[in-house]
Amino acid sequence: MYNAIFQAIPVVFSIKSLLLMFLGTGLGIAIGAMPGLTASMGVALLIPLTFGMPPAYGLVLLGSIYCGAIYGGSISAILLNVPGTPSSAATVLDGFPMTQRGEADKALKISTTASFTGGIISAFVLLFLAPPLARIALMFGASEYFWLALLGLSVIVSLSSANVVKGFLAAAFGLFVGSIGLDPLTGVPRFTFGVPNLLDGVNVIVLLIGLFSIPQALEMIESETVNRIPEIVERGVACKFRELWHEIAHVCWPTYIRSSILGTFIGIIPGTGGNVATFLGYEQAKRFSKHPEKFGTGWSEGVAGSEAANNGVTGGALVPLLTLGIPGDSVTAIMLGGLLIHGLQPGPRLFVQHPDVVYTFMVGMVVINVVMLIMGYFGSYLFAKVAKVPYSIVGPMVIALSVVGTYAIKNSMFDVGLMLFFGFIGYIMRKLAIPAGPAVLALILGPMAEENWRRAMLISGGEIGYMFSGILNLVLIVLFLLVLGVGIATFIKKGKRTEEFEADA
Amino acid sequence: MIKGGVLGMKRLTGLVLALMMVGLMTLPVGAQGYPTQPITIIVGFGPGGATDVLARIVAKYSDKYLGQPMVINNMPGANTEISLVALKKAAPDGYTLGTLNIPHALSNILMRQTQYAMEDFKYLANFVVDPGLIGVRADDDRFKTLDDLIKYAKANPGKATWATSGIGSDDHIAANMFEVATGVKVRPVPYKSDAEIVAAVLGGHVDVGGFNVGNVTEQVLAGKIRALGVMAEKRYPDLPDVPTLKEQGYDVVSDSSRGIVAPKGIPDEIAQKLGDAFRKISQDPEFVEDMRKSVQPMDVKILDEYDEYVKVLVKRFTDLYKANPWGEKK
Amino acid sequence: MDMAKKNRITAIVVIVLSIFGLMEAKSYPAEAATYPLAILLMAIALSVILLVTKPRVKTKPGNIVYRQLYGMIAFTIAYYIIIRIIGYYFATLLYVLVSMYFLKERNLIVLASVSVGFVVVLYCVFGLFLRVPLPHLVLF
Repeated sequence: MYNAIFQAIPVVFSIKSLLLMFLGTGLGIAIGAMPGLTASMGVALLIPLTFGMPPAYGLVLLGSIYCGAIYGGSISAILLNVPGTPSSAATVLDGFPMTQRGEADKALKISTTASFTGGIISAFVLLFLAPPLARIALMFGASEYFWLALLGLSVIVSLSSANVVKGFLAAAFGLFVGSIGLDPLTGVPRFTFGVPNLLDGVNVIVLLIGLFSIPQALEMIESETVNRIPEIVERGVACKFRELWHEIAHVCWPTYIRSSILGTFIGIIPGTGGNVATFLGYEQAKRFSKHPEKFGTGWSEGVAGSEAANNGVTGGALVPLLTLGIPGDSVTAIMLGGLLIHGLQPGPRLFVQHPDVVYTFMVGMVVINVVMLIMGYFGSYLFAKVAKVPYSIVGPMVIALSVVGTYAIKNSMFDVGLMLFFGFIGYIMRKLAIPAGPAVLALILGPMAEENWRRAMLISGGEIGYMFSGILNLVLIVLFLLVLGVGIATFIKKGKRTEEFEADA
Repeated sequence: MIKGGVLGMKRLTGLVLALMMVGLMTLPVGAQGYPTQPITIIVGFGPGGATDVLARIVAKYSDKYLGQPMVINNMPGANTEISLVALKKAAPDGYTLGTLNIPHALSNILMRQTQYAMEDFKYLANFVVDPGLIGVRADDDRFKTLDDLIKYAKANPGKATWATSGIGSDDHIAANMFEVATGVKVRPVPYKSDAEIVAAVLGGHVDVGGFNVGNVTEQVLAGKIRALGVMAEKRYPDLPDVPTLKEQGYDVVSDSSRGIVAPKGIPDEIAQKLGDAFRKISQDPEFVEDMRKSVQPMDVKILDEYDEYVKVLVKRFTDLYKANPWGEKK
Repeated sequence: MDMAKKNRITAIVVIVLSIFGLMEAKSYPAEAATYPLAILLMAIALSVILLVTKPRVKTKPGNIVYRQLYGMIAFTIAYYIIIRIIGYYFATLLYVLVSMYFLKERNLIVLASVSVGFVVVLYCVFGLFLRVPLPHLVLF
């Protein structure tokens, strides 16, 4: 192994490779930052770019786009309250309030460093621990996925701390939307009313953009100060290195480490990725923080928890892909196709047959994260200026971007119309103080829970005992109960103290 | 606002005529010059999937054999219904083609109402026939041969879990065919993708995997999955030790075919041109190698051959559905 | 409209819609129907709670300029329709231009450069680079 690593180093540090990394990361950040465009889309659309190149370079390029995009999503999440990719859905919760307090630059720098930490830890895990960890990936069967989904869903309690009833209503909405489409286990169409475009269900991005982008844009547009620069942000200060270091060293670093590891594991589990990691990362940051009450008001740990986890997924998702040929998340699923197009068969023999390509890629991932850190850190000052653009310009642009981003998923205007419909609903939800986060989370995890419960029942022939068999199941159940229990306890403790703030309409 | 007088009218008419000519020039010309513009292929699955990979490999050779590039337009959804409906509505001028997967396209029609029918298309070329493969985990000692599996299923009817890529998928149909041919009952467990089947079998969560050669060859060659039989007429060249089901006494031939079609009504000359080009592409040694490396078993049928093949498949699946239906018809 | 009234309306709307949903879901085979039925029943239960509990609310000052809001909603719907007629790029150009003007941006240089610049960047990214086939005019 070490031999292969040493051989890969000169290739990784070659001029061509480094140029590709900067190009790819830059593109990735841009794609991630635009609401509507996602990492999967970026990688999918840029695969043709890699055709002329040797596979190792092609993979490095795709890997840079991946890491860059997952980080880039936090930029619009922080500055505009709109997640650039689903993997930054939880970053808005503390990122945007920080911007509103003039701390945009600090939030961006926290996000950059947290993403870097997540990415580099997972890249090292990938490089040195891939084969044993791949075995963990295989341990997840239907019952394990069910408990994992429940664990994720229990985060809803935490996300709706202001008003549990409304949070759960939002979750119910998300669960309902998630049930639209062909039932995976019987093939029966549910709530499709004869519309073929709904047979595959509602894409999470359509709901995400609809519930986050459009209402945010409308709120920008409806305000009196629409063509003046937001005042507090005007006074925004650049975050100096000393201040950043203080924040990290004294507040955030445990979150950085914990979230990174959490994200790596989520990535390793096939089928789950950044969109789950962001919520779980945020949740655990809050769980272990010394100041949980500050979450939601603009607290750097919130940003750190979400962003370290979602970049942690990048290296983790590559573990099952490169060792077994099983993608760890949706982006790596596309990379699998990329590998095939380049004539590399993903599977257990990839390491053996093409060690040069694989190791160049894995070592490259380490360097890519460094590149991302550099670009993000020095770019943050520039990015932060976006927050100073008047709403009369940003508002329409966000909507236009949301339209094209939604269209680009499946080249479907139907999706765009659906997204606008959800946008309308999302706006009403805002005015009713119903949080959007639980709806998105429920849309992602509800189907996973239902499908896997039924699949587990099918596999076991109806024996409930199957759900509790094996260590992994029990571990997940314990975690689920813990998160749920603590969430309920916090809720009871807080009692009637919380208040909602609402604009009179 | 028209300036008065004959001069004004003439100018306007001239302008309109000129614009019309420009407009006409951008429209695709008839079969003579075909193709004069890039050709779009509507792919029924998302990027990275086997059908997408096939389309991209074919597109790679389009410049060489057709003189124009091909642009991929992924329109996944509803088990290829979305892409087929879009193709059906496209102008039959040869500039919009689409991928067709059987049994997916057929399965939809059998299982529910669809907005397309098999007669809506002109069949140009089938490239891939990816046979089904029955596989188990390599270290599962219960099933060393296909007969072990059949014995087990006879003794435990409906207990052997068989992973498929969805209700009505080719894997599920293969399982049905297996049941009919062997007289045993298994328990199909639907997953959402081929990768999930691999994970389920490797992880020991199901007994058997309903694979296609394309997505499991690597695993078999790496020794992780034991192939009990392949559901084709002949053995697969890269897996010479895997017997077919027919050899073992069971008439089961089940596969997933991928081809390219056009909307019905495409002029015959253009269809012929495309068919010839696809034939030449399929005979290009570099193309063959690309296909082999991405594990797409080739079985090329052009134009009339494809028509015949489709008729055979329609009959095979319709009969099977009558005998042993899958899924619930709404 | 104060929060209590908003909550009541929401609860009633959700209950009504859920009942429709229940009627639809009843027609599905048992295995497929369980999950949707559970969700809808949960929604009804939550709505009832919402109906009977007092909201904990403080109103926040913030005026909505309805003209801007409704205007933009109308423009956005028009945008959606027009995309299929004159193509994405022209539609976006118009939409951004008209919206900015409507939202009181009057500086001609800004209006022109932002709308044109934005569409040019979009074209470079989606048309040239990513090659996403966006709805387009026959002539363009």
